[in-house]
Parts: sequence; C-alpha cells; structure tokens
Amino acid sequence: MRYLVVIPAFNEEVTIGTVIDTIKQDASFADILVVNDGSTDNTSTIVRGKGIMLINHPFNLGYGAALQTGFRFAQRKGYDFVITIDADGQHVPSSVQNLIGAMGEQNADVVIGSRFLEESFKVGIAKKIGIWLFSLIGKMYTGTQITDPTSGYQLLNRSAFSYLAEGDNYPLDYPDVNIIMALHKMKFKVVESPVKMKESTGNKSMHSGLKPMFYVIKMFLAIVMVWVTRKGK
Amino acid sequence: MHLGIRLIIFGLGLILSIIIFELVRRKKFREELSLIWFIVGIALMSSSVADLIVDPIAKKLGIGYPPALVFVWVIFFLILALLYFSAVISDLKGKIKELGQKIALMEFEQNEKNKKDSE
Repeated sequence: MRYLVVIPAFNEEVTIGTVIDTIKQDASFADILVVNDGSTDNTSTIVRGKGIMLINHPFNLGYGAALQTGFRFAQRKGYDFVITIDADGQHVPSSVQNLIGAMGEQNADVVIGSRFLEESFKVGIAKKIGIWLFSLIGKMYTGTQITDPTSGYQLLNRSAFSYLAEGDNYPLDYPDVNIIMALHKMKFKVVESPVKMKESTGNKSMHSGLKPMFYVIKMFLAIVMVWVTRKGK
Repeated sequence: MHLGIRLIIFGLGLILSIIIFELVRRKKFREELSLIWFIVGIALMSSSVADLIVDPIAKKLGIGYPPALVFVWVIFFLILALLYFSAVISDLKGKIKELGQKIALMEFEQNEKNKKDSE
C-alpha cells in the first residue's frame, strides 16, 4: 500500500521545515509531497533542502487547488491513499494512525480528522457557530455526525481522491461540508476519527474581518448547489 | 432636443463604434466580447433620437419623467453586461486553475527527468 502525504503550502517558511521533519519521523511509511501554492517567501527553498517531492504552482491558486494538484499527482503516480496535512503545524502527524485505523475498521473512503471528538479544542465563537451550523446541515444531509467539517487533516482512498482530482469537483479555496455532502451523494463513505491538533502558530486565518460572513454565505450557496446539481456515481 | 445636441450624441456613439471596430480589427478585442460594446455604441447613436420614441412610451406607461424610463433600460442592460462579464471571469478562473496545475505537474515531471538524465 502506497501512502502520499500532501501538504499545501502558501508562505509557510516558519513552520514547513518542522512539519516535514515530524511527518518523516511519525509517518515514515508515506512519501511526502509539498504543493507550494505560489509562495513569495522561502517555503520552496526550505522544502527542496528536505529532499522531498515539491510541486510549485506558477502563481497562487488557492488552498483547495493546491490539494487538488496533490490528488492529481497521486492519481498519476498510482498511490493508494492520500493523507492531507496543513503546513502551519496545526496537525499532529502521529494521529495519522487513527485515520488509517478508522478507514480499515469502518470500510470508509474518506476519514476526516476531528479535533473535537476526544478533547476540547479552543476556537473562536464565530468559528464555533459556523462549525456547529455546517455540522448540523451535514448531519441532516448525510445522516452522519461530522463534528469538524473544516478539518484539513484527512485520509482519502484512491477512488475518493481520484474523484476529487477531476475538473471542478474540488473548490479553489477551502473545502468544507459541501465536499462531504458531495462525496456522500457520490456514494463515498465519509467518517470521522479523533486527531490531535495544535493551535496554529501562524497569524493567517480565513476567519478574520468580514471574511466569515462572506464565507458563510458562499458556503450556503455551495451547499445548495451540491443539493441541486451533483449526480450519483 | 436641439439638432446640435442630437448630432453630438450621434457622433459620440459613432466614435465609440469605430474605436471598437478598430480594436477588433487589430485583434486587441475578441469579437464575442466586443459585441456588447457594439450594442452600447448603437444604443448611444440611437439615443440621439431617443426622445421621439421614449417620450410617447413613457407617457403611455404613466411615467411623469421620461428619462426615468431610459435609466431603467440602461440599468437593466448594465446588469446584463455585468452578468456576462462575471460569467467570462468565472470561466477564465477555471481555465487558469487548470493551466496552473498542469504547468506545475509538467514542471515536476521535467525536473525528475532532468535529474535522471544527469545521473
């Protein structure tokens, strides 16, 4: 079984080195690919120095697009599983065994790492409301409780990541409950597993300023679109 | 409306249409995108005599201030134009993403090949 860890990175020179070292140590069975999404800092140089695979987007395309590039790469190179880990150091790589275990036990296609399943994790009130709301919509649609739909810490099998690698099946920016719903509609089994996450060390967040409001509206629209357009496989 | 004003408005519409025609001829403006501006040019030319058509229609519709009817038409047309350009931008954004990803993947393959060749 071949595993590929995909790390989308945009200006992550502070954390990327440590993230790669920790993955090498805790998930040594997997190959590592960093998708540098048009960083303007030293992210690319640091990754090159670590002797792992690096794909450089010619310009910034977005978090979702970087992940999709990783899925396309995995598809071409014949990987069986893809593990997605953020470059900001939030995801603890040792938890990857929980994801692998859950996939085997529950015969799932996608396992989402949840920071809320085992221990309490501090998040801002706006994000808390957003997660609660989208979890509720997700549960109503899929019948499965997804406590952390925004989590970027995931394990996907070949059929799931191959589906997301196609055309517009993955968003340019942040995938959320809309992708979980779309996967459910395509008959993929999506489950959750507890993972450890740290507070992000960087200052970048999509949940600041007016962005959350636009994000919620955009997500509602994306949810409606999944409901009305996607077809079963 | 004074004849001079009518001629000025018609002239402005004509100049706009000629500019657009020239841009298309020099391949600086794609035909499908220029279409909407040709319509603007023609609309501007015909607005030199618009009062002759608009005033009776406005009167029939019970609009006390006839230019208000023109504003409604213009706003509706501009909304349509914006919608069209938004669709074009969305389409281009999707294509740029595809291109960016393909270039990145091809560059990776090329680098791998170069490495192997140099070994």
